[in-house]
Amino acid sequence: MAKSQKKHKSYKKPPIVEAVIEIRFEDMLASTQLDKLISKQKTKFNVQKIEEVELKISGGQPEAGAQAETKTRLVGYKLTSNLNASDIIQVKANALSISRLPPYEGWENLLKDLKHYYNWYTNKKFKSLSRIGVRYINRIDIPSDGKIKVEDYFKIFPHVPQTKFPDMNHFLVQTAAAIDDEKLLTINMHRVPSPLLKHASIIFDLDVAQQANLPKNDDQLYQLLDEIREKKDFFFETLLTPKCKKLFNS
Amino acid sequence: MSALGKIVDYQPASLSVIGGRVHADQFIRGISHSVLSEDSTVISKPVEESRSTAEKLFDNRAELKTITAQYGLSYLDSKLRKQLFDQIDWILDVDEWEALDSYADQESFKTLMKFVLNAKPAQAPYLNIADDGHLVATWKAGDNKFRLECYANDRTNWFLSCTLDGEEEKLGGEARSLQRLIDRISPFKAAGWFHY
Repeated sequence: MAKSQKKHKSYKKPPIVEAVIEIRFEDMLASTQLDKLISKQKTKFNVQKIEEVELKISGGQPEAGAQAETKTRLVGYKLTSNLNASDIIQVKANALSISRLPPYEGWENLLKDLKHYYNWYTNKKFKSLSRIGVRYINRIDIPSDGKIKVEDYFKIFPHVPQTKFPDMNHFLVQTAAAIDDEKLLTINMHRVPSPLLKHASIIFDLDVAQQANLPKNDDQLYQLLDEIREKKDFFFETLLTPKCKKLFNS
Repeated sequence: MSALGKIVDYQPASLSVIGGRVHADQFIRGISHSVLSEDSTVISKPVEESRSTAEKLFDNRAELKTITAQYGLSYLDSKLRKQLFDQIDWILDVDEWEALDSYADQESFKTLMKFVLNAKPAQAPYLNIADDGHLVATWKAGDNKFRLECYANDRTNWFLSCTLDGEEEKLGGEARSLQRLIDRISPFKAAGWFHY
């Protein structure tokens, strides 16, 4: 199939805090295979364990009180580039993700890195997929002396009565929507303290993922990633107002 | 797993976004305890329990560079970013490290980064780490000097010495907000230490 020829809008100051592509596989790698993979990257990356800590609280009889138990389990490794700490690879028994922190160098570079580490992870043998996701976490810094009208910058926002409603110091919006038969769009949006004086900052986090009817080979995979990227870009452009986008070019 | 559990499934590589360690995902996971039968928190930690000094230094450098990236976004030009990274590499250089040296405190570095983003110097400062881990930044222009000690939560101690219009000035103080600090030092822009 022909490659997408669509032109993508680029901004002088992209608000991206972290851009991520994640691929999950149906089968799990054995821990020895995972360790072998990691050992090849130790000169290029700093390696950290990723562990899941599970807290179980069991409530017995009221007079006995609740009991807490924690369990820790190794789920993978986080590899941080030695050069600039902007490239981060997360490797798990059934998943691979690559993250790019600022400065963002564009989708093409992110995809190129993904292909490189995907080949390394799969040893160039296609493995059945269980989920593919693309996530962009943005921080929108809005000039403000305190109050901001969220609706001036976003087309998705918490709606409140126009009169006698206090200013929102904090809010959290989370939506999940099927955007076609197979893809799911998740939006997380919330305020954070701004590092810039006289600004208000809002995290605008878009995640597009597919869990069904997944590719059967590498070419289909890369084509689907491009499609997911198109969807992600469409919703980014659609959900921000022109006033908001102006901030990225000023 | 519930739908809510699925949509917050992926954990970003960088767990600390601006303003501390409460990431949206963690926040959402917090409120979804009642929905999910089993919940867990993902953490990253060093591979070896007894990490070498070189590895600990790498971790500390990576932490500071990650803060630089997340705070700086696209506001930092490549020259200033490189200068900051060079300084980070220098203060946490394994070849120069001595047993009693302190690692850099992340909260102190966040205060420094916020100062850099708001004061907008055209060049990075010379950095040092004090005994308790807080960062000391110094900008110089000839004999004119501005020194900034950075602590958590935007607290700073500052000192400047310069000669302007033939008058020698020495001034310093403690600031509890960056706006206050920037207001106090702005009359001395002509001292040139920020090389605007």
